[in-house]
Amino acid sequence: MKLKNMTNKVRGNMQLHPFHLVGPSPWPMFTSFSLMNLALSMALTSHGYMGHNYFMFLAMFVVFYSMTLWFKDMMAESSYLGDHTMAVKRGMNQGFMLFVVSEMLMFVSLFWAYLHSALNPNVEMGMMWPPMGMEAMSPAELPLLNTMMLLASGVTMTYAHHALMNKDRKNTLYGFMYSTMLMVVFVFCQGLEYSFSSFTIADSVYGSAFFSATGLHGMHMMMLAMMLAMCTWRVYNYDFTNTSHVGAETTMLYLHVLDMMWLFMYMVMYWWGS
Amino acid sequence: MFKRLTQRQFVRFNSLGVSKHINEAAFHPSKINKAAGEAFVKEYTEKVHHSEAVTKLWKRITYIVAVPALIATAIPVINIELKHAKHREHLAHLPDEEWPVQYDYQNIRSRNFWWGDGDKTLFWNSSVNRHITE
Repeated sequence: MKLKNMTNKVRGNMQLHPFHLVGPSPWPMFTSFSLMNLALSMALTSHGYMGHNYFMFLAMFVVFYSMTLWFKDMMAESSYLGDHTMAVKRGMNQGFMLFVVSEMLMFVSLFWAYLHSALNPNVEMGMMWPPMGMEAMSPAELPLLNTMMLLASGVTMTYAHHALMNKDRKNTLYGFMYSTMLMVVFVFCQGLEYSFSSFTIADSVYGSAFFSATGLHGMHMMMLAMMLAMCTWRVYNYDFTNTSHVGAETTMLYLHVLDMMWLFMYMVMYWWGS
Repeated sequence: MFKRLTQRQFVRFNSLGVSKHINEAAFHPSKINKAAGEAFVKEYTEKVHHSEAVTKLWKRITYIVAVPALIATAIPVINIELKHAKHREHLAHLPDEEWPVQYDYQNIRSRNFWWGDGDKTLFWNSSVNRHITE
């Protein structure tokens, strides 16, 4: 039937607004409980109130479990039920941007902590940065390769993005696969760098600030690798169209923001700070 | 009382019957903005068309710039890291007396870690990290 012939009688059978009124779902409450469980069991384990760490790992597993089921519902709502109208997609992208801003502010606080100690090192540490007797990592070695990998991932991501918009399945798949592999290798190299580091997180404020900041970034990278693997699978599974791919858009935004984050981290903590 | 109330409500909401607009066109031609619709379609087709050339460009950048740059960085980095590995071997066999002096701010332990033996940090490597206690 042509749109101009549609009567109010027929129009009344359809939704009169572009929004997605979600049905009753257990996941918000379930996720809240699992997150609270994780926070409690982590704090209690690390302060020695728990005899073993099984509860912590169980809580981590439950968080992943609830996330998986929640995202599975969202994928069904977008790909199979068509609930993600343009207004809904815009709303989700805005929500993700707010999330990214809050993440960036968290990194800002870690940069502040680092620079607070680095710009004016106190007399007990020899008034130098890194402190007396400590050796920083060389920015020209493994960190440089890591930086190159992240820059390359920005390129492969843009390649995938434009291929996705152009309905080019093969190149989209290649782009997402390359980005995923680069992220996995990046996390692996960071692991190598951590295990060969001459200082630890317990070695002065230098070690604490350095490993807090790069560790938080590394955890984000692990999450990004999972998101990219998920996107690769969803492209392979024909879940995305060239106009409807919020999951891919948020993953791309996350990748570029974390790449920029790493560049600042590389410049300040590896290069200037060594 | 509730029975009467429900009856009153029923009458109130149903006495008007079906709307007189029920068989009118839901999207009257006067309500349809044809120019906006055409602009939307035009923007979409242009975007798809434009992305074809951009995909080719970034594919080229991936293979011609990113991959060689990665290889060119990886080779010297691997060589340096292999040298470091030899140095670590030497460090691992260094006696405690020859290990660099440990300042007060290094190896801070206010209480035991809750993993392992309680003294080693998460990424501890015995060949490069040492906690010397007198």
